[in-house]
Amino acid sequence: MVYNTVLGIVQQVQEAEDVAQEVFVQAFLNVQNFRGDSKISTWLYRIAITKALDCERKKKAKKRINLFKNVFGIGVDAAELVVDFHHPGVQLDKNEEASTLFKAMQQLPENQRTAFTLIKVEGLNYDETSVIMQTTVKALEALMHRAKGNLRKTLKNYYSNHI
Amino acid sequence: MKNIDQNIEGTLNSLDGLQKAEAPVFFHTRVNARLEKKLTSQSSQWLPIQQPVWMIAALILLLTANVFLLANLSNKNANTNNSIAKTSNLQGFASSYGLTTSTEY
Repeated sequence: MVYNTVLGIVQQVQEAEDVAQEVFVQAFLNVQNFRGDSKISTWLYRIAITKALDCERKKKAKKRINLFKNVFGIGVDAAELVVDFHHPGVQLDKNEEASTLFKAMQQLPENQRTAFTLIKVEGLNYDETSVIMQTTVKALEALMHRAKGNLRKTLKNYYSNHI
Repeated sequence: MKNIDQNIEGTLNSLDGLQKAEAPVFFHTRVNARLEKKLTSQSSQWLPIQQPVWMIAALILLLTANVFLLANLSNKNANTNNSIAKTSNLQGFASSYGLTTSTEY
């Protein structure tokens, strides 16, 4: 549950494991802050999303620094180069398409990316997702509509250059 | 164009029927180890000075003390200058009215 959600957002196996471990450690250390208003799984999902998005922000900042380094010819670590992500749960015949979709998801704004990940990768329904994201189902539907629209635009760009 | 649209729809639906990724083996053991490490480092840290909030508090205290001392120092200087000015005024007044006493050695 936590690992799958984190993996959907950070899209790197090693990093996802690291973030998921951090989620459980934080949950254990702050369990006294859990008020019991919602399910414990909802609380865990929220910690997982926050941590995963934090990790993504750090990664983006690192990418910017690397770009800067590249301009000045300082060089980049081989480990930091972008690699295509293949989710282990994707059906084999859809592997390439799914990889392209994951890449396109990286361009989405954070809330759209979270909603899309929870619904499409984690397989939650709109009710559960709206509770986790502390929003209404209607707002979530609008968010998903915008996310799909943005993904269509990114994919259209991608396929017009690759076909 | 039709081909591109088909590709887009196919890609958007590529996550249908996705199986959830399982956490790697020994995940539980690693979480336990990490937790233990964190708890040990927390208990060994008996002085909270390393926490940012305490660092900022100490810095503010230091700055306040410095500002207070500087303000005090400048007040003292101002007082000394005033007394010097008063003395020179009196001397000027005395000399202009010929009230100075000449000392013979």
